[in-house]
Amino acid sequence: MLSLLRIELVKIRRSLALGMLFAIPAIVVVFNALVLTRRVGLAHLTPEQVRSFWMMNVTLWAFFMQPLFIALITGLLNGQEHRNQTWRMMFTLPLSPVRLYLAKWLVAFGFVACASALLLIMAGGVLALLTALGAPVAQVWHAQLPQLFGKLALGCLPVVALQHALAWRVPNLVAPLALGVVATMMVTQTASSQYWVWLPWDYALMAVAGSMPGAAASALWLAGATGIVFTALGAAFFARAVRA
Amino acid sequence: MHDHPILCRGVTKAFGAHRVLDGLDLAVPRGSVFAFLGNNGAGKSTLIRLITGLLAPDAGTIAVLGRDLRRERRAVLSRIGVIVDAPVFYPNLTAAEFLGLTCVVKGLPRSECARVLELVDLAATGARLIGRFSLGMKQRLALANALLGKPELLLLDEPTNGLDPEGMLAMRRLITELPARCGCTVFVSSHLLDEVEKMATHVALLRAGRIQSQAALADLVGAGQGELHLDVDDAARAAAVLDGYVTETLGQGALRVRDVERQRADRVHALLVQGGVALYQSVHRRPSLEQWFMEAHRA
Repeated sequence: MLSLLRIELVKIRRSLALGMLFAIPAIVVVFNALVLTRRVGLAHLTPEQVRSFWMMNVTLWAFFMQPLFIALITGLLNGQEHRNQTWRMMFTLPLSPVRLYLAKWLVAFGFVACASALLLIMAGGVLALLTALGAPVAQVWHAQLPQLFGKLALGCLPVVALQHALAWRVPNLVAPLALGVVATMMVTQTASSQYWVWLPWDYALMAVAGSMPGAAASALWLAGATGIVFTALGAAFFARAVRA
Repeated sequence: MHDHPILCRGVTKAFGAHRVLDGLDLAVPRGSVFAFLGNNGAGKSTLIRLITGLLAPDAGTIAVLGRDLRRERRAVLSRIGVIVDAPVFYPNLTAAEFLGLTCVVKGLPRSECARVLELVDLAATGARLIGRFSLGMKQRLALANALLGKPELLLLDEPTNGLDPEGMLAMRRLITELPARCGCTVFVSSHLLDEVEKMATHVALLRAGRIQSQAALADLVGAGQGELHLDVDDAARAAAVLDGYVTETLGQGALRVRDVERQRADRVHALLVQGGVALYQSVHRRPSLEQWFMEAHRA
């Protein structure tokens, strides 16, 4: 398994996926920073506004950008095999298709987790920059950052599993992106209703910003359980189904 | 040690209603450069995919290096090198990085990459990305990848496709030397008869889903009789004079006389002269693989 992880990490060198890992969290943070500074100005920042800056980043990421990022990354990581037709090279090597499937899943999840971490680091970096520019920011470090990161990472497990299964099986980028977009749009309707439990794309958002009683904890449990089940099912049914 | 690195018995494969392979039997001798011939769409690539486990046969058995492919797939794949269809790569990687992928999976030392790159004359590519390689370089890189770990069996699907004459010569030389240099058996599928004749030791003809003919190349084209190509004044009269021979008129003054040994050409010449036919030129040609292929197709 470690050897398969190694080769998957080599394959992403100089790739678009690696670029997106930095670009997309940066876009979110820069956008929110511009909104914040344009609205109130550097000299008038309050601790409440700084706290709200953190939540804007985390909520926008969990609600909108992370699901699209997952769709893009799983599409790119599997798409390079479809586009280059390198499945037939991979499957003439002495490796297990199931382990390869899981290795790619792990790399995709790693990408998403790293992107979440980068988002939080970049947000802290922006606040440090604003402080250097004269803004009265009391602290750049949010006490709940590790917790937020954990919730974002765990909450996206089932979405990574579903998007990875689709991108592995379907030889084009359109299908996984379309699923990501449609599901993200559905979140706008389900997130504030009782039906959020049925849509895995709601779990990360509910985990970090769920307002209903018990929603955050339930979302995390659901995300963990369904993430494992969907990944196992994907490995069992799809790992050998790709046409090399 | 097994005498036949590839042994197929009754292999059948259909795609929908189209049966590509129909009870195919094949035995590839160890240490040979075995060429597998057939027209486009005959099933050559399908057979290579079956041998490598990319496809499963509908019926029959395939033993590779003495092992059942279905039960011991990974053990087999660790000892063979493969090029299936056109070579495939990751264009964002360098040659060494690409070969490193196979080395990691097969548990080979990194020094293997340098060894095979030297073998195929790609050691100087350095930091150049594969996306910027020429077609010939990509073909050689694919061969290098197949040669990692000194495989006992090489499966090459149309290895000279798309190469310029110089590239084809280089690839051909490399393939011909491999059994002696690396101790492996080479299984080549091709529709380029001229190329096959220059590098193969054994050939098999695939037709209608089965092996129609299989033999050592030396037996097919070396020991047989050749043919005379005659340049005469009247081909029709010459054909009438050479009544006991199998002749073919190629034009007004051109005649081909089949099944004539070089030492017996003088008898043909004498008959023509006695028959009053003017003979301007006579060339004796050995039987070719192309001839065998066309006759096998006609049979």
